[in-house]
Amino acid sequence: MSEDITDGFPGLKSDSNFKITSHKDFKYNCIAWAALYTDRWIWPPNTYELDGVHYHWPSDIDKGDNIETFINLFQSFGYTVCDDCIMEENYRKVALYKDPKTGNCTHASRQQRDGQWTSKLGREEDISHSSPYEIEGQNYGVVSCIMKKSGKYAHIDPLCTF
Amino acid sequence: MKPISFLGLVPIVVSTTAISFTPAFQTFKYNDISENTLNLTNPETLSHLTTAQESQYFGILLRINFNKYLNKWQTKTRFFSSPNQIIQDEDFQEIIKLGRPAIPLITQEIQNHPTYLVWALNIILGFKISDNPQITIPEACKLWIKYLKAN
Repeated sequence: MSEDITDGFPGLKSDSNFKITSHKDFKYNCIAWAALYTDRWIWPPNTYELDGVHYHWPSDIDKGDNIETFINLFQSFGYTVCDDCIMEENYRKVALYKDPKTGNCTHASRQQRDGQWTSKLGREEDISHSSPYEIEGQNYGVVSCIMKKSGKYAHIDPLCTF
Repeated sequence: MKPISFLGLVPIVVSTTAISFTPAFQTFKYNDISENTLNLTNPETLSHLTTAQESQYFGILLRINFNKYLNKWQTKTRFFSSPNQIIQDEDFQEIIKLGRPAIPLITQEIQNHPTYLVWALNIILGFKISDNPQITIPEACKLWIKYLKAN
């Protein structure tokens, strides 16, 4: 199973911190996982009404797949753009990925309290990895933006209220 | 001398599929077709079937094409989190184009493996099976199977 994942993300092959940390779960997607939710998909509503997907999207954020939309989304959660993915005390950091060809957001990962990063891989499992950059490539494109959120409980509880 | 009895003969069932093949066609091999998956290993057979008249082999062609699109779509989109990316994929769109004849195949697939493929039913049939916002994809798949069996 882990070989399947490293085929999709070659950067994980040399990552000693790579491990699968959950079972497969359809109930949430990568953006929700980055925002500490496991009961919803966070993505702009689709043209189609689809079963099994409960779209959550703040009404005051534009709908679209471009990376700026997702930066606005995380800003609405209290995040600000920062320079790097280095661990900082009392900060939670997320990384947003984009397809360099389209400029569309493809993925988000989140830093954990131990400094490792965690990602929900589509319909597959959650994984941990050393930095946001191990999963760059064919599937998620490149890291476009690192954002951070301050607060004593930044690593503990979801503060999003939409 | 013991008389020969027809009851003692073991009939050989070649196929239950009502398809007649032309004598001129020499490359088709039944052993190429698994009844469950219809994955073809002989490229000559695959070539013949995909170029033959559709009316003659419609059911087989439908399953071959469905399996082909499904496998490619699943491989390409397994790590995607964007519903837009998942359903705009060209192979998913090909499944949509198969239309209502593909519904039994979709149903069979989501019964065995409940996945985002259920969205093909949303798009082909044009409605959601449930307005319950808490419903999960596996639950939606079960509801679709129940609905389609009853209708």
